[in-house]
Parts: sequence; structure tokens; C-alpha cells
Amino acid sequence: MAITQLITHPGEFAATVIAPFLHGILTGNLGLSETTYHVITAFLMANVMAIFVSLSAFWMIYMERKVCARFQNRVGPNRVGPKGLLQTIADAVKLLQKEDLIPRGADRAVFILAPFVAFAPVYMVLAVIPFDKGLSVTDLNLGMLYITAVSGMGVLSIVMAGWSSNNKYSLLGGLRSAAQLVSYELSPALVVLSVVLFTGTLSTQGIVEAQANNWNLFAMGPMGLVGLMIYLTASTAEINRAPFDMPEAESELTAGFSTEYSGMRFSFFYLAEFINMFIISALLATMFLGGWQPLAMKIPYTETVLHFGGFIPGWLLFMLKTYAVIFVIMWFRWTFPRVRVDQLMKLEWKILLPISFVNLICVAVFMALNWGPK
Amino acid sequence: MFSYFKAIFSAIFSLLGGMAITIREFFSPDVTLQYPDQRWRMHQRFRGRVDMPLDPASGAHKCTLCMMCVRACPNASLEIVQTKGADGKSRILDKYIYKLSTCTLCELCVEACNFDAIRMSQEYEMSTYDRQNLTLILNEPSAPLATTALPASRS
Repeated sequence: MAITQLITHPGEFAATVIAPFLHGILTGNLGLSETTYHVITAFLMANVMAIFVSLSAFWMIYMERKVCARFQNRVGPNRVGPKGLLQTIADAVKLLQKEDLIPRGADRAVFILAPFVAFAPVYMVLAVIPFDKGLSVTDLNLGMLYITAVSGMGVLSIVMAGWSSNNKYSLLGGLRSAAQLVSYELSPALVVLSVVLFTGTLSTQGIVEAQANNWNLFAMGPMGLVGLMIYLTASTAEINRAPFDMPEAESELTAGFSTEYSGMRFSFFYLAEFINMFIISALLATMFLGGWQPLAMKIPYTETVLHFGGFIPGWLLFMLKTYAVIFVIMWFRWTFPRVRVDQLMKLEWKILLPISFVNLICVAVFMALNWGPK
Repeated sequence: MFSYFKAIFSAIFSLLGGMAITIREFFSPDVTLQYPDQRWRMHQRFRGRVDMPLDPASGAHKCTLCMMCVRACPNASLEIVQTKGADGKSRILDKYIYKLSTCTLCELCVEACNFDAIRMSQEYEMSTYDRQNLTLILNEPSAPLATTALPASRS
């Protein structure tokens, strides 16, 4: 019974079995105070997320290489382990063995700190990702605001890395990235705002629960589709992925801000980039594709609601949706050529930002006319 | 205003067109080959190194020592060493020396041969660590590599 519950409703299982068990052991058997119990559980959760981060990074790097290979009619990694699954682990071991170089003239403290500053906000955002009903590290009632605020810190690490490397390529890459990230914070934030306006909650779990009978993509009508496209485009730019990978445009800037990084420090930037991609996709799935809810689509002008996929566990649905979005982002990367810096700025300030403003106003009017979810 | 939206929609459609092309490639078969495990079967007229096949009917090669191939070779890669037979008159092929190091795989020797005694094989893995190994004696049992079956290849 308990085991099947672990698979079908891990959130409930954690709340009804694991948490009382830990509480009993720590406060009862070991006689610790409530505060200590909370600190220890927070520490355990952080460790669980760290394991999740490293496993999904390994999987996503493998997936990226395989998907890339498929788009280029190649086979991809297939030597290390079955179907090349252990290739990433081999690469990680190689990176660990690399000499850890710090260039002469670099700003040592900032140089050493930058990769961790890149990783920290990404790791923090994971705390409010709703993996399943009741299954998130914490369910903040200001979840979306927290995500927007914390992920804005990502740009800091890139500027730090660019400045401290004492290298003109790094500096130019860092500056480009600062311009890009600051510009591309705006339209995703407006899209998030329109979704928050529509569902009436800032909590990520709340946004998912509001989509039980109609995914936001369908419920918001054309605004849903426009919002989804704007969010996908702007987020791809925000995580510095192709076709918006100017900060590390190798033909112009060798490797941009990460030019001088090697070994483990470099892999931290890499890790942050991939986890960022996971977060962007997870948020897209949460906001528009119903998160862990099965397919629900209300047919317009009728009361019928189309339900499908209720038999699949919620966390699996969430992962499937997230990885579908990740696949689309990879698909972008292997299809579109890199845009120029002026085109990048034009896209954000002349196209995405005005449209997302209009989109937000449309949603506001929609809600004011009481057409929103009942 | 109209041109603004027209530009956006035409951009979206052209991007979707590009994505349609790449997803078609995503589902098309691989073009790469896992080389040591898989090999291409070479096409019929592929010019590998010169090979002297055995005639299945008689079990011997068909060379009549007419020397046409040696004369046709533009860079003297062929050399024939012959001996007299037991009757003291007939000529017997002793060594058919083929210097792969100078051969340009031009196929002129094969075209000059009137008896189909030599042919271009499908053999293309001819690299070696020692230049000595590039001098082959085609009429000796160790030479005819092309008669061995090629490893499993992709259709």
C-alpha cells in the first residue's frame, strides 16, 4: 500500500509517512527540539534536491548530445555504458582531473566566487518547483515572485566572471550578457504576471491546482498561446541558449565569460545552464501546461471538459511536460542561426515587450469582465 | 502597424518552416557508420588495390605472362618474375610483385589484361606501419585478401 502510494502520490506519502516518521525519530527518540527538527529536514531536502540536480544535469547533457546527434543524422555518444548513458559521467571525471587554472591578474576572490553565484539562484529556484501534488521543497505563497526575484541574480555571476577573468573576451561576453539578461527579464515577468492575474495566486502549487479543469493554455484563449510563445522565446534568451547565445558566441568571443574557466569551476557554469533550462521548462509546464495535472481542456461554449491521462502519476506527467519543453528548446538550438546583438535588442524592446504588455492588458480586461475561471 | 504584424507573422512562419525541416532530419536514419563495427559494402566499380583472383573452375590464377599489365602500368608498380617449367620451354609465373607504395589505383593494368587474371578489389584498409608491407606478391596464398568475405555491412 505504502509503496504504491510512493509511486502514485509521493507528495502525500512524504507528508503522511516520511515526515511523521522523521519527526518521531528526531523529536521523540533523540529528544531534539522542533527547531532542530526543521533545520535537519531542510538540510535533508536540500540534499535530495542536490541529488536531483546532479542526476537531471547528467541526463540532460546526455539528452542534449543525443538530440543534437539525431538532428544532424548522427548516432551520438554510444561507447561508454549502454547506449552511451555513462558518457556524461566519464566527462565529469575528466573535468575533475583538469588543472584548476586561475589567470594571473584575475580578481581572485570574484573569480572563485562567480561559478557558485551562478549555481546558487538556480538551486534556490528549485525549492518552489511543484513536482507533484504536495511535492515541492516548500510551497511559498509568493512562489512566482520569489522565482522572478531570485533568478534575476543569475546575471550577477556572468558579470562577475566576465570582469574578474581579466580577459577582453570574457569582459565583452559578460557585458553582452548583462544587457541581454536585463532586457529579457522584462517580458517573462510580464507573462508570469498575466498568469498570476488569471489564476489569482502567486503560489506555484496554486497555479497548478487552478488548472484542474482547463489548462491555462486553453483557458486564456489567444493570450495563453501568445504568453507561452513569448515566455519560451524570452526564456531561451535569458538562459543564454542558442539562438541567443551571444555571451558565448564562440566565433566572436571564443567562449565569452567562461573563457578562462576550467575544470570544476567551468562545469559549475555548465551545470547552472542546464538546470536553468530545466527550471524554465518546468515553469512553462506549470504556468500553461497544467503542471502535474492530466490533460484538461474545456471545449469552448460548452460545459464539457476533456480529461485524459488521469491514470499517469502526477510527477511523471510533470516530468513528461517539462522534458517536452526541453526538447523544444533543444530543437530551437539545432535549427536557428544565432541572432546579432542589435537584432536581439530589437526583438525584446520592439516586439516581445510591447506584445507582452498588450497581452497583460488583455488578460486584465478579460478578468475585469468576469470571464476568468470561476 | 500592418507591416509590424506582417513581419512578426512571416518570421514565425519561416521559423516554423525551419523547425519542420530539422524535425524531418530528426526522424530520418543516421548517415554515420560505427566504422570498425560496421562497414560500407563498396560499390561494384570501387577501385581498391589490385588483386589476382583464383579461377573457381581450375583453382589457379589465369595469368598467361603476356606482360600487358606490366607495360600498361604508368609508374612501374608491377613486376613479374618467371621461371621455366619442367620441360624447359613453358614459362611459369614465379612472383607477381605488386608495389602498392607507388600504385595510383588507375586500373590501367586491369584494362590491359586480356584474360581477366587481375582485377581491382574492394580492399581499402591498406595502411600499415612498415613500407615493406606495401610490396605484395599477388600469386601467393597470403595475398588475395579480397576473396575473404567483408564484415557485416549496412544495407
